[in-house]
Amino acid sequence: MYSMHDTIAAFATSNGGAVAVLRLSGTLTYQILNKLTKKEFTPRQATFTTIYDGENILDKAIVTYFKAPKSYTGEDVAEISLHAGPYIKSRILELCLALGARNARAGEFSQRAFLNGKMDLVEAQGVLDIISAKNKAAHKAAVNSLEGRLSGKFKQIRQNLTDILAQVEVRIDDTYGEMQPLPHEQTKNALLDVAKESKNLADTFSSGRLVKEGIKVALCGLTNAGKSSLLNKLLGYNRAIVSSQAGTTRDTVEAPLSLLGFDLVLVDTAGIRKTTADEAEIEGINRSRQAIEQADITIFVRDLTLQDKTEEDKFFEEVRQSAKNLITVFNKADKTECGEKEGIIISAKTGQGLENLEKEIIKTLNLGDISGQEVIITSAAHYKALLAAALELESAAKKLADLELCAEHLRTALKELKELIGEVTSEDVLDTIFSKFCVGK
Amino acid sequence: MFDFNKTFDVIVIGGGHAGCEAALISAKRGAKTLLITQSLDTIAQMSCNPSIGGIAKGQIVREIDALGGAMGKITDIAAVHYHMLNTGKGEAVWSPRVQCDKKIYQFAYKHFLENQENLHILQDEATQILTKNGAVDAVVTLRQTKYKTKAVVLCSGTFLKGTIHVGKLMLGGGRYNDNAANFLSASLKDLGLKIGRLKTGTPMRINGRTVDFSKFTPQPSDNPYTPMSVFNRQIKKDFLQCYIGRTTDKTTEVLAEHAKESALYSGNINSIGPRYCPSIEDKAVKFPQNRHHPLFLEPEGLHTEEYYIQGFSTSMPEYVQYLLLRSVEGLENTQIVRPGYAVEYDYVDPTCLYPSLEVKTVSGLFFAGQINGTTGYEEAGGQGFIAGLNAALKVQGVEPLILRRDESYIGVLIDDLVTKGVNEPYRMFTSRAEYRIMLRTDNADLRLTDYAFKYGLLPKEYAKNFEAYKEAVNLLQEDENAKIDEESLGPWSIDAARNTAKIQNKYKGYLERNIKEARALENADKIVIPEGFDPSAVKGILIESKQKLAKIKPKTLGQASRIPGLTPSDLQLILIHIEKFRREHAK
Repeated sequence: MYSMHDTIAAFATSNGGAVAVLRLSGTLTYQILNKLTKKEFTPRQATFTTIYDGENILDKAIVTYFKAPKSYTGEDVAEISLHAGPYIKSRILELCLALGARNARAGEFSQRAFLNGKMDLVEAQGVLDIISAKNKAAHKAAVNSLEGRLSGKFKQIRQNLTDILAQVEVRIDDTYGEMQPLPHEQTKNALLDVAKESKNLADTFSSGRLVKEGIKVALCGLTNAGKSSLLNKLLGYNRAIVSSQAGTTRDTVEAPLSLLGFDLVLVDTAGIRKTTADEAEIEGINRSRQAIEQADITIFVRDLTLQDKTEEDKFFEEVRQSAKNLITVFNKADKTECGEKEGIIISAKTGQGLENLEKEIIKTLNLGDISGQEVIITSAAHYKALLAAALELESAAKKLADLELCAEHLRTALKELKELIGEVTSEDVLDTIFSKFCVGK
Repeated sequence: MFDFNKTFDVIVIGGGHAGCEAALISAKRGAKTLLITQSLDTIAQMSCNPSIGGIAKGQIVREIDALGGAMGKITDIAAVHYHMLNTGKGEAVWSPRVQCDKKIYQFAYKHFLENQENLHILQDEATQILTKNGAVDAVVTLRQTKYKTKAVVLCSGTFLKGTIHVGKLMLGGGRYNDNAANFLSASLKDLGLKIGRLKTGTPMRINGRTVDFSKFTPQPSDNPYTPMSVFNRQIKKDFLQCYIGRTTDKTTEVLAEHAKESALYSGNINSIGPRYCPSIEDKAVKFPQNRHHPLFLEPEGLHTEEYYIQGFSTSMPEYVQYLLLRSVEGLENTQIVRPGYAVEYDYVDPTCLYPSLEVKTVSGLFFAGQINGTTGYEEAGGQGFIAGLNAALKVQGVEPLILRRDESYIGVLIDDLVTKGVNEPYRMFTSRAEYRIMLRTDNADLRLTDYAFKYGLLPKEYAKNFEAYKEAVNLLQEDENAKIDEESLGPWSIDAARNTAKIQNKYKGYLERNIKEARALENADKIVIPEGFDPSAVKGILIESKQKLAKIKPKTLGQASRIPGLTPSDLQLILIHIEKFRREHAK
C-alpha cells in the first residue's frame, strides 16, 4: 500500500523543451529543498539558486516554495525549474528520492489536491481519466517486465532470498527442536552475495550512458516502408508528453518519447532512397549504419505490400548484422492480408499492433543487454530500491545469531525489491518451508 | 414444533473452543445468550493435544486474556506442565505452551459458563438457522424447538457432516464416538453459502503403564513458570512430565509396507489437511530421507495414565498402528486405548465474511473456528471471542471490534481469512505477522487491554491499575531503577513491567520502524468504504480487481489494499471515488 502522507516528486513538464519543472509535495518538501540548495525560502517567492549534488553544483534553477495549505495540493509544495538535460533531470530526481521523497504516481498531485479540498468534482474527473488510462497500460507493463525479469538474474535473487528467509523462519517456528542450527558462514555468504549483486545492478544506473543520453531507438527500412508514419504514430500515441526537434545530423529526426517510465530517443534514419544514383544509396546506407550502431534498439520496418523484396532483404541482412537489439515490424497490415511473420505485424496508419511493439520495446529494455553488458537499471526508483535492499541484506548478515532480527532485515529487503522481483508473500515462504522441511506436530 | 417463550440476543451453536469463548464474552457484554451444544460432557473438549499455546498460538491466548477472554484463565486452572518455547531466540518470538489436564480443562470451562450471568447453556443439536428479510431470526433444534434470536454465532468445529477414517473404516462422527451434525449444512447451503470439505487428524492414545519411559528423554515443566493469564499468579502445582523420543528405521519400513492401507492413500479422503500437522505416513512419503521423526508423549491428565503421542498422527488401520508403536523403542508393549484417525468436515469459504466475522449476505450470522477453515484451539478461541463480542455489539447497535494486523495475531488471522480465503486448514505462524516484533507475548495487554475496558469486559476497578502499569513500563524503559508503587498495579506485576521495558529497549530501532510502517497501514484502514458505495463499480479499475472487490467487499481502503492483485492505481481510483461519493452525499 502506498502511503498518502509521504512526499512525492515528479516532473510537471513533458519531455523535450529547454526547461524541466520538478514538483515536490508533502511534509518533507522544505527539508529536501533546503538540502538541495543550502538556502531558506519565503513562500510564494521565485528564487534563483544553485542546486547542489553533494558539494558539486548540479544546475542553476528557479525555485518556488508554497506553504500548506496555500498550494496546488494543499500540502507543502515546491517547484524547481531546471535545464532539461537528461542527466540533470535524472540526477535531481535521484537526489530527491535519496532525501526521502518517492516517485509520484500518475495523477497523484491532482489526487491530493482533490482530497484536500483544492479541486471540485468536475476537475476531479480529469484526474480520474488520467489514472484510469494509465492503470491498464502500467499494469500490463509491470506484469510484462516482471515476467521478463523473472526469467533471469532477478528470478535468482528472488529464489535465493526466499530460500534464506525460509531457512530463518522455519527455525523461528520450530516447536519441537527438529532443525539443526542455521549454518552461519553459508547463510552470511549467501546474503552478502545477493547484497553485492544488488549493488552491482544499482551501479548500472548512475553510471549508465542510458541515463545521461536517453535510450536510442533507431527506425530503419526502405524509404516508403512507413518509418515516418510509425514515428508519428508512436509519438502521437503519447502526444501529451512529446515534442520533436530536429536532430544534429541532417536527414535524421530525433524525438524524445516517454514510454511507461522509460525515456527514449526515437531516431528516424534517413533510410535508403530507391535511387539509381549509387552515390546517394551509399550515403544513405552509411548514415543508417551509423545510427544503427549507436542505437540501443533498432526497429526494422518491412513493407508488407512490397512485391519485390530483394532490396529489402539485402538491407535487412545488413542491419541484422550491425544492430544490438533488433525488432522487426511488418507494416501496412491494413492494406494486405498476411500470415504468420517473424516479427510484429502493425499498421502505422491504423495503429494496429502498436501496443505489441511498445511491449516488445519495454521487454527488450527490461531484459537488459542493451549496452552489450548485462541487465541495466533504467529507473531511479529501482536504483534506490536496490541500494536499500543491499543495506538490509548486509544488516541481516550481521544478525544471524538473532533469527527474528535477521528476518526483519530480510523482509525489509524483499519489500524494497518488490517491484523488481515481485512480492514474496508469507504464503510463498510457508510453501518453501513445507516443501523443504519436515516440520510440524 | 415448540416455540421457546423467550427471544435471545445471541445464540452460539457449538460448545468447543470457539463457541465457549463466544458465549462467555457475548453474555459478559450483556447480551442474553444461549449456548447450544450436543453434549454438556464434551464442552471445551481438547479433541487433539492436551495442550494450549505453542509458537504463535501462545501469543493468541495471551491476546484473548488481555481482551478479557477466558482461555488463559482456564489453561492455568488445568495446567500440569508449563514450557516457554523459543527461549533460545529473541523475546519477540517467545511463546508459552501449557500441557493441561483434559478433564479439568473441560469442567473448569463448563463451570465458568454455568456461573456467567445472561448465559443459558443447553444440550441439544441445532439443525436449522431461520432468517427473515435477510437477517437471522431463529434456530431450530433436533428436539424440534424453535429459539428466536437476533444473532447467531456458528462454531461447528469438525462436526458438520463429520466423517471419521481409520484405515478403510469410515464412520459418521465429528469426533470419535461423538455424533456428526448432519442437518445444519443443508441450512447453510439454503442461505447461499459455499461449502467445502477439509480434513484433519489425530494420533493414537496409549496407556502409560505399558510404556518404558526409561527409553525416552523426560521434559519437566518450567518451574518457576509464567502463568498464561495476567490475572493468575504462580501457585504451587502438581506437575507432570512430557517425554521425547524418535521413530526408527523400523517405523519407516512399516510405513512403506502399509502405505496403501492408510485412509489418506486409499482414495477415501479427497479433502486437504493442514500441512503443519502431517500424518506420520505423509511425512514418510514426502520426506523419505528423514528416517527418525520426533515423538512427544503428552500426559492427558492427573487422574489417568493416558498419553497422547505427538508426531504419530495417522489414519492407518488399527493393526498397523500397533506395528508402528512396536517399531519405537520403549513402546514395544504399549496398549492403544484409542486409535488415531482422520476426520473430514464441512467448512465455509471465509471470504464470505466481513472482518467482524459476520456473514456478508446474512445479517446477524457470525462464524468462528474450523467452519472458517482454521485449525487449532487458539485460532478458534480468538475468532470465537471476536465473533461473540461482535454479535453482542451488533444487537446493541454498537460498531464491531476489528483488530488490526499491527496490534494482534487475532487481527492477522481474521484479516487473512476474510481477505485471502484458505486452501488448507489455516494455522497461525509468527511469519504471517508483518509486525512480529510488536506482537509479543509480553505486551499483549499493552496492545489490547484498552479494548477490554472500552467494552466493559474487565472489572472497572482494574482500569486505574492498568493505567499505572502502562506508566510503569514507560518509566522503566527510560530508567530501569525508576521507583514504582507495586501496589498500584493491581493484577499486573512489576516483574512483567520490567520485562517488557527491557524487551522494548532491546528492540527499540526495530519497533520504531515497525510503528512507522504500521501507521501508514492504520491511515489506510481509517478510510472506511462507505455504506452504499461499491468499489467494484468504480470506472477504470482492472477487470480482475473488480471481480475480487465484488467478492471480498472490503470495509476499508486498507483491507482493499491487501487483496492480492489490486494495483496502486486501482486504490487511487477508489480513494478519489470515496471522496467524490462523500461530497455528493454531503450535499
